[in-house]
Amino acid sequence: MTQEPEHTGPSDALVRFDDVRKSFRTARGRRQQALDGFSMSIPRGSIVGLLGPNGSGKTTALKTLLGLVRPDSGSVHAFGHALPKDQRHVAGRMGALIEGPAFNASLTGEHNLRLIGELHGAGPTEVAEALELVGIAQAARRAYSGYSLGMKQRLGVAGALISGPELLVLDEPMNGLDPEAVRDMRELLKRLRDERGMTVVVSSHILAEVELVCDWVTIVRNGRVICDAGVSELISRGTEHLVVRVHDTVTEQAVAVLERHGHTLTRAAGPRGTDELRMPAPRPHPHAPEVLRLLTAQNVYPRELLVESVSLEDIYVAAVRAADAAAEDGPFDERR
Amino acid sequence: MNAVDQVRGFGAPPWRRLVRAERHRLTAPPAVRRVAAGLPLLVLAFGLSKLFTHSPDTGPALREADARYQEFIEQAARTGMPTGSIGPDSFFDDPRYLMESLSFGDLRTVLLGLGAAATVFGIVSGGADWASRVMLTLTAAEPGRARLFLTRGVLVGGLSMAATALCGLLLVPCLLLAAHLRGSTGGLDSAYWAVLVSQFLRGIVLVGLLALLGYSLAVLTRHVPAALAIAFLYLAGAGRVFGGRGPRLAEYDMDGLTFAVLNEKPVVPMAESDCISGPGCAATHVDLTAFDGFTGILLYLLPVLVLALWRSTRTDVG
Ligand SMILES: Nc1ncnc2c1ncn2[C@@H]1O[C@H](COP(=O)(O)OP(=O)(O)O)[C@@H](O)[C@H]1O
Ligand SMILES: [Mg+2]
Repeated sequence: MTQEPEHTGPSDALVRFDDVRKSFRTARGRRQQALDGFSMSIPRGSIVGLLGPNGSGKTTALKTLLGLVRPDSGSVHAFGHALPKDQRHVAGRMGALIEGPAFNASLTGEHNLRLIGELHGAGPTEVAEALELVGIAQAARRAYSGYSLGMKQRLGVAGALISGPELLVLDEPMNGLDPEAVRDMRELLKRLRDERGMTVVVSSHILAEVELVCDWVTIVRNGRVICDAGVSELISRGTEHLVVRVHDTVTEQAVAVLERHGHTLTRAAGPRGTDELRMPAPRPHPHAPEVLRLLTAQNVYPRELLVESVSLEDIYVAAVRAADAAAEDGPFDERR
Repeated sequence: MNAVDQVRGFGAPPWRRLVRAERHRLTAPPAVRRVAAGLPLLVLAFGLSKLFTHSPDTGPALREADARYQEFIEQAARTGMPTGSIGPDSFFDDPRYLMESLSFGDLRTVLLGLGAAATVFGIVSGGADWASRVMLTLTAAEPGRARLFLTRGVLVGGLSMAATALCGLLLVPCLLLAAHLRGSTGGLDSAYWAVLVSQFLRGIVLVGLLALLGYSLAVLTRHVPAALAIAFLYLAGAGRVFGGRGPRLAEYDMDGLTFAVLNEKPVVPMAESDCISGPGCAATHVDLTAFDGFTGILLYLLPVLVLALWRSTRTDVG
């Protein structure tokens, strides 16, 4: 797992944050370090998941990219331009939904979209198409105030799409969506990437929402990136596990034989009177046949034997643990 | 490649597009549209009401003036009070609509009402998009914050002035009609029209400045109710702050300033006037000229405008 935060990034990064710092003065006059040496890159043509718990700095980072918040130090580049100096040159190339949808409640969804579209030179055709794309064309002529949260989020995404952006920035777009809508959103993001070559950065504090759709993950904690890498690479770097599920009457026997043959095991209770034995499985040939042979030789017949693939959650947990351990071991950081 | 795919320019919107989009956004809210449609109707109603509140028949009024004069004479005789030059004329309440003398006051009333409406329009235009967080979207699309601020400010002022011009053009024919049918159009010479037009033009500028003041307060506070409250306190209290600090050390309360701007007669400073009392002296009841009036209102406006510009360009959004 990653010991050090990775800032290398791909060579064709569309966006690059380098050591960005930003602090806010809170209501009580204290300074809150929202970004604390934040570095990440967004590879062209990918879907990037910006993950981290609430308050970790995701929104602040995205606002910095959009020129809404000015960093105290560090640099942000997008499309080869330095921001916020050259923000004008890239404004039309990014579409964003930041911290939930924002529209005039007394107007219809379509009217709201037309007003944003006009700013980007988009006409009725583009408005209709964006509405179609997010699946709320049938509600287009209803007042925004009567929309459900899910419809508002969809309209927010349509608003981000209306400029025909190359980079789509979505801050927690799945908030308030029901499971089916979350799935629709994921499909939409994939379509935008595959059919239109869009680059998408999508932030979330809920891993499961974006896990299935991201090519690249950036994990943020306390305003710092603790992991920034391609999902396939991370998964290939992570350790897969072989899981053997046995009836709990034969658990001891199974553990004994496997340990005798040099396997390191962890045990956990499984469903309906079973136990699960988990051991690291080397790639590309996990020793499943050998394990099966050893057990059946002792008349232990597993109920289930599977190779558990690495999930983003494993990566997330490992990254957070590594970062916490590094913070504890590391020298006292005076900035905090 | 389909429509949404087409990149419509990489950068921020050009001026023309920004102005058009902002104009549409400012005039889109149903409430704004209702008020925009309602104001001219209200002005028409006000103008036409003169047809009902005035009458060409002076007979009853003359008789009443006589009666009241007799009463006054009797009372004076009983108490031994000198009657001086007071005659029946002093008790005559003319029921006719005399365009030459009454139109200035009516125009002033309308202009003041429009000024108040423009202040509120400015506040809503500057503040509502902060409450709905639409400003985030706009700022992301147009990172030139000063451009965004100025475009909207100019539009708020310009739209208010256009509405005022329209309302004034609706009012004057109504008043002429009232004068024609219920009074007199006597004395409407070129000098009269010059004064009326100049009052009207000053009023249009005043309304634009008030709209800009409301707009600036709202951009500064990013909050409609707060801006409304502050606008009220500011307009009521800023006279204390600015009083005596402008040219000629005049008192700069809002009442006096608007009066000075909208008064039809050239206002002479009290000290230079030999007028002591009577209707002809109304113009000196405030010791300010129209120039002072505009100076004072600019004094009110500029600090707020500069602070609002600073806040909208130099601080974080959202
Ligand atoms: N405008 C602001 N004023 C004060 N504190 C802020 C402001 N914006 C963000 N913060 C603080 O910065 C930290 C990061 O916030 P944010 O970027 O919104 O996190 P996330 O989006 O990951 O939940 C939080 O502690 C938050 O309270
Ligand atoms: Mg957030």
